[in-house]
Amino acid sequence: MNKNVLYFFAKLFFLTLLVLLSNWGIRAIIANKSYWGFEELETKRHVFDQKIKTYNNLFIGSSRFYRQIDPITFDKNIDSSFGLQSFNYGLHSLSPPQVYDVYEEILAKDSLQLKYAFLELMNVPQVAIVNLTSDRVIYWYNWQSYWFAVKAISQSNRTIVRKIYGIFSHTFCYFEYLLNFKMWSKVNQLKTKQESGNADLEIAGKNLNGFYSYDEEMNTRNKANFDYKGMLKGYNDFMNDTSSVSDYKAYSQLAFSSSIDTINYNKIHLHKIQQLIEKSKQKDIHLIVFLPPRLVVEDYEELIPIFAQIPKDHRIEISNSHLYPELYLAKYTFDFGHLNEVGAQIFSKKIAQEFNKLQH
Amino acid sequence: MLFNSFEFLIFFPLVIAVYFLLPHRWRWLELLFASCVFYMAFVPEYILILGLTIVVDYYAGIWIENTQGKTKKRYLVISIIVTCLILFVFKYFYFVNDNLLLIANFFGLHYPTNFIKIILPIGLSFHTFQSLSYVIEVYRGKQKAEKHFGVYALYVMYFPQLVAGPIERPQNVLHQFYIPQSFDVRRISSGLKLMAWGFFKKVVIADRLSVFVNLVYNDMDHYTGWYMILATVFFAFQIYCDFSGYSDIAIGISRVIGIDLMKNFDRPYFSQSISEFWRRWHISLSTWFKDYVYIPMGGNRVSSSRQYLNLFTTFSLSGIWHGANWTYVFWGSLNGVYLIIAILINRYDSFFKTKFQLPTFLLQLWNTLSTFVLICLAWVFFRANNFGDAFQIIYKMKFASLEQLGVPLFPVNQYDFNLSILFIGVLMVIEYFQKDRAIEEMINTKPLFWKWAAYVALILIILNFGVFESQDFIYFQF
Repeated sequence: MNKNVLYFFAKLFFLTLLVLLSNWGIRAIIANKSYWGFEELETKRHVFDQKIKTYNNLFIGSSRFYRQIDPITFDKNIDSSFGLQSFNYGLHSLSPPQVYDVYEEILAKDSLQLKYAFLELMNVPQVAIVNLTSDRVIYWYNWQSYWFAVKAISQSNRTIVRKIYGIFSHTFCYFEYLLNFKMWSKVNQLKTKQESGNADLEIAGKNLNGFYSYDEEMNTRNKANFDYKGMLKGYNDFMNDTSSVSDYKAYSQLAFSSSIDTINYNKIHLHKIQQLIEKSKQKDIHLIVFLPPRLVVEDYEELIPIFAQIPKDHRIEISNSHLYPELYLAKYTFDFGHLNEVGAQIFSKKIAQEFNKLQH
Repeated sequence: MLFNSFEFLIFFPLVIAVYFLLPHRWRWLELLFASCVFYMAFVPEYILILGLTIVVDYYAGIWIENTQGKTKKRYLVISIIVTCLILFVFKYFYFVNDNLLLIANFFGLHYPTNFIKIILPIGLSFHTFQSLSYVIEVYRGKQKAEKHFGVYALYVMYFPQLVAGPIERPQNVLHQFYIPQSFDVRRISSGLKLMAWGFFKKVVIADRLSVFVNLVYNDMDHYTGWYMILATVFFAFQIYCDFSGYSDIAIGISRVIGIDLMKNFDRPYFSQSISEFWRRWHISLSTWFKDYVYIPMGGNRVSSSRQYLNLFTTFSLSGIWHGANWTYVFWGSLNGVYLIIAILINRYDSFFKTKFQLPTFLLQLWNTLSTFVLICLAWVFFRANNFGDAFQIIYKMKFASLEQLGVPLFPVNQYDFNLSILFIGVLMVIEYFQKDRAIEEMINTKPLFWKWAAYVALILIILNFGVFESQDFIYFQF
């Protein structure tokens, strides 16, 4: 390789370094702790922060929490001695490691009055190819989260191909994050929208407690909304073929009847959860890790061993179709993975009952 | 595969790395393979259509060269018919059929219309024209028939310009595939810079403007006055930045490879007349029509009325080349009419000079602005979903008032609106200074610090302000 070529690559390297450094500076000023790629999360934070001193219980997780846990029903059905007022911080695809980051950020708030927090137990997912360049998967990274995702996926029980893709997808998105891909524009678009009073508060539900059932969304959403079309498609697809409920039921039966190896668990993932339990304790918060219904076999195989390692007073499982058959009925179902309004009320009651048992 | 896609981010460095690692004799094969992969990323089976065009025109070229007189002409005609037939079937079938159906309905006749489903292969008009230019040039004796089938296939399929041009001539490109290319740092660096500039135009300006243009043009009942004017001006810049941005990226990629492609745009919105605009806009297509349609029809070496007919026909054909819709035909014809009127009042410039004694600067400004307004008016027909919409947009422009400007026009998108104005301003200032020399040359004369600052700033702007929603390049549809 001649001198010119070496010089060219050295310049390219230096240019990359300069861009990354400048981006770091820009990010620190413009996008510090901003959920610029996830408008709904920014709205939820805003709604929660407005009444932060009111809430002493929090549900945080994916749409399985967001669409299925009604804080009012839960609060009504727990023993009155607890006197809880809950907020649902769940949102679609709010999964690890991002959900852990969001929770840690909540823990860091000074005026926090939480006594309890429910955290949904989920696998660390890979990023699908279609989503690789979407804002939703880029904005949240930091080194710790990225490295946790890589380690957790490498120690998971997935196939080698899925592990490689999982690590690649997070690495790719992390680089996009470092490159400030779309960042400045999106931060300002979000700010403009909020300042012009156009923030979509509907997503926090009619009671502004974070619960927004699919049925409620069907009745209140603007029909032209992009999310509405997706939701309607999911609903129609399920109504045309309700067999997926039986599939989920079968997965659950298989998972809870077979002897899943609970010796070999994902230590990285468990360690993270233990860290969160400890951090919560320091803030006098009792963290409860929750195993939800309607998971696929691979999820059960990975999550049940982790779940089994969590101290009993820090875990609740409402997933076993033998014990909770009503959560696997088509009449309580909205789409493939979620319960409808009636199902959500039943589910919220069940959680309250399990919580009461746990506390006694 | 789009240039602004995730796949291309992996594809491009890989292709370039393998290209320079391979010995020269295998490089054509690698480029051909890469071009196939690039094309097949859209609709894989459509490569067969491209293959058919390549086979027909490859043999036609050889037969044309080896024969004389009527036989030679016959091969040319056959080749043109077959190539154009493919274009007709895939691009114009529905258009012609729908119009025939209207006529049939008028006479009370009915026949089924949806008996076949055809999707337009991406970039079909571009590679069809590139193939046609090859056989015509061989027929004219300006280009030797290419004997190497692989190299000829590469000429038609060369991925940087496969789906949206520039539409190359065989004399410019074919021989370059035989020249061994070294890893020329200066050339590669220049290619990468041009690509960055193209990406700036595409993802920072064009894709941002498209939001406003689509908002107004797709929901016209809710907008009036300034919205119509702004959306039309924005569309003028959207289509320019989209297409010239694509061309810059294509030329930049090719420069990295070591193949020089022709310039496709030359600061068109600084044109001082419609004819100048068409010498600066989509140069590869304008010259194609000039060389293969306008001049063979007699060009301007005929009577005035015949010249007007030639101009009108050429521009109408150019319109229909852009899309199988009457709005495109009207857009092309309107530009033809502009040119005819310009010829008819060719004392236009001197009239202003002598009557009003306008200083040169003001005269140039007037000419540039009036040309831009006329071009924008024509763009309305290009962008509108149908004739009704186009006329409605033009009609609603008259309701523009000062009161309307008193409040923010796009409150939710105010930030992007401001950015759009800013970046259009930046673009025009840079283009103005490119009058004498390319921006790259200008930057290269600056001290090291400013040189680096300019490139880092360009990259940061693309990354931070880019709209990366993988929108198709507008010209792909042609």
